[in-house]
Amino acid sequence: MIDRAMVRHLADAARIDLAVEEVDRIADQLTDILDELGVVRALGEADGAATVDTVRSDTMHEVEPPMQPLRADVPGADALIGTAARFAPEVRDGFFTVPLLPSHGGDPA
Amino acid sequence: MSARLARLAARVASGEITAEKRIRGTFDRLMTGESGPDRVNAFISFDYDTTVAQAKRVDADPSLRTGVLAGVPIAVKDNICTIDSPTTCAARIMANYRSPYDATVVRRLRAAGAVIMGKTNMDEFALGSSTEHSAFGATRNPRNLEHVPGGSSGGSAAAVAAGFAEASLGTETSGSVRQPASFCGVVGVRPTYGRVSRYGVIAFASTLDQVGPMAQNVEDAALMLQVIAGPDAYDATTVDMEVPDFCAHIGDGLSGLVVGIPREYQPEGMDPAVARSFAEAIGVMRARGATIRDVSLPHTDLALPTYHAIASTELSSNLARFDGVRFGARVDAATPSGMQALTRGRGFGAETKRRILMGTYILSHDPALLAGAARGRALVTQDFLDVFAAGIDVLFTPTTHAPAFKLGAQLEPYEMYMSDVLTVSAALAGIPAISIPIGASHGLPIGGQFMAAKWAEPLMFRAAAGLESALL
Repeated sequence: MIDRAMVRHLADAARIDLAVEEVDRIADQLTDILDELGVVRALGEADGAATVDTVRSDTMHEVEPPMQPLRADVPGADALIGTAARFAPEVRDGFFTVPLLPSHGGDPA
Repeated sequence: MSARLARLAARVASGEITAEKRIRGTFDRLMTGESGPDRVNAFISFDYDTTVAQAKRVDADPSLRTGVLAGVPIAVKDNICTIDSPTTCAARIMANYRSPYDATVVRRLRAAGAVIMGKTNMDEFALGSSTEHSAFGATRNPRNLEHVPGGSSGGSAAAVAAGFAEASLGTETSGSVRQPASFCGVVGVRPTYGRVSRYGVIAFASTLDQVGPMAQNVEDAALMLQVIAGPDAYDATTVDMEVPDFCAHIGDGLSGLVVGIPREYQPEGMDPAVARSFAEAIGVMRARGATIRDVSLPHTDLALPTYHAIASTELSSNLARFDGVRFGARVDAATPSGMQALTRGRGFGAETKRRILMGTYILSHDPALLAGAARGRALVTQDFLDVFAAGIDVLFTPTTHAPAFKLGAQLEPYEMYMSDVLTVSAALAGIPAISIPIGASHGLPIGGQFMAAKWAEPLMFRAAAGLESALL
């Protein structure tokens, strides 16, 4: 059960401003969705570590050949820096500069 | 019907037609189809001058003019970065974003002589199954404008179905290429995880996202994958192995193939027309010499809830970069955190906010769900390893349990998520899969799906092309 206070707490953590009616709607929807995921939570609560091998079935990593390529360990220029200098409105020391926030002396939009 | 792209490119290479002339013709069709009350709304952005300039470059450069996709019009989903047009992810927060570089897949298409026609509509940040959750309005299904094209790559599927492009790129997290391909009656491919670079593709769920081609037939889709596949120094998840010739055995037919039919993929509530087309396709494969075997993937029920636990947590992390400072729009406030909250509150759509908050909840309050998802994923993956180890060449299933639903059907969130129930397992396991048209019901296409072991795309294309030609 996700209540309104929890939704407001999550929105604060995720830095998302929500209207009152959004808080109500999302609380109901998250409660429903998380109910549907109960079967997976039960799997996590069970003592499954001994029976489920989460390493052998890892879909992301090729631990045997073929493997992910590793670049040569030699320092070099960041390939994006030249592009950034050509593209960004303003570049300083190889970095994009961004508009100042009003709280830091920038002009409010 | 097959190898259409290769023929189109050969005509440009031989000088029979210029790329510019072809692209102008396709662009006229696009302009007509994208205007007026019956518009499909497949594209978020397209620009005549930018497109014609690309075609002129192809005509002027001998290496491009003889490329395998010379002068072929291609549409690209709007979460894939292009240097000469906006990249919005169909999100208000990204409405004015322009990438300083081309995604690797786009760079490879251009190097093969392809011309990018424009950027296609999608569900915001690829979150959805209908292309209705777009800040730029819904896309309609060209086969029946009252129905959705599927999603999230609905614009890419609709563009191919409507003839606004010969082929397109979509992206998949749980089925966002195959499901819209099925709804629009085109071919859609999910490659093996690690086959295709995601450099320049705006991330949703990084352990699942893949770029996949959509085309009018299997051989064209294979050719598209041939062009975009292979290791990339800019994406450490691409695997350093030689890319096989996906078309070498594409015409070898069905005889001798062992096709597994997973019994868990015929869920209750399946549309009778889908069940009928599926059964007919199995009969056709048997008649063409394939061995049909009943198989079981016993943990299939875990796939969809497992996926949602994993995808929402990865999404909440990936979308943290949209903070009002580095990318896209900003809504100012008195404090930096207030600025971030207002920017994200107004810039994200309802589905995006819902899923970020779900991911935030799971990461901060529900460790059992996170642990269960890792185990669920391992069990689903092991099911596939077991059937392929037992001698099954490919698995065959319906792509979706029903044809395209109506626009505005207003499904509850989890009902919408059910659209991916037959495609999500392949995504979790990182295996390749393809959807091809196998029938129709009241003018709405029905799709069938082949899945194969990791890196076994050649076998997958052979099976799909074999059924495609048998159904013609």
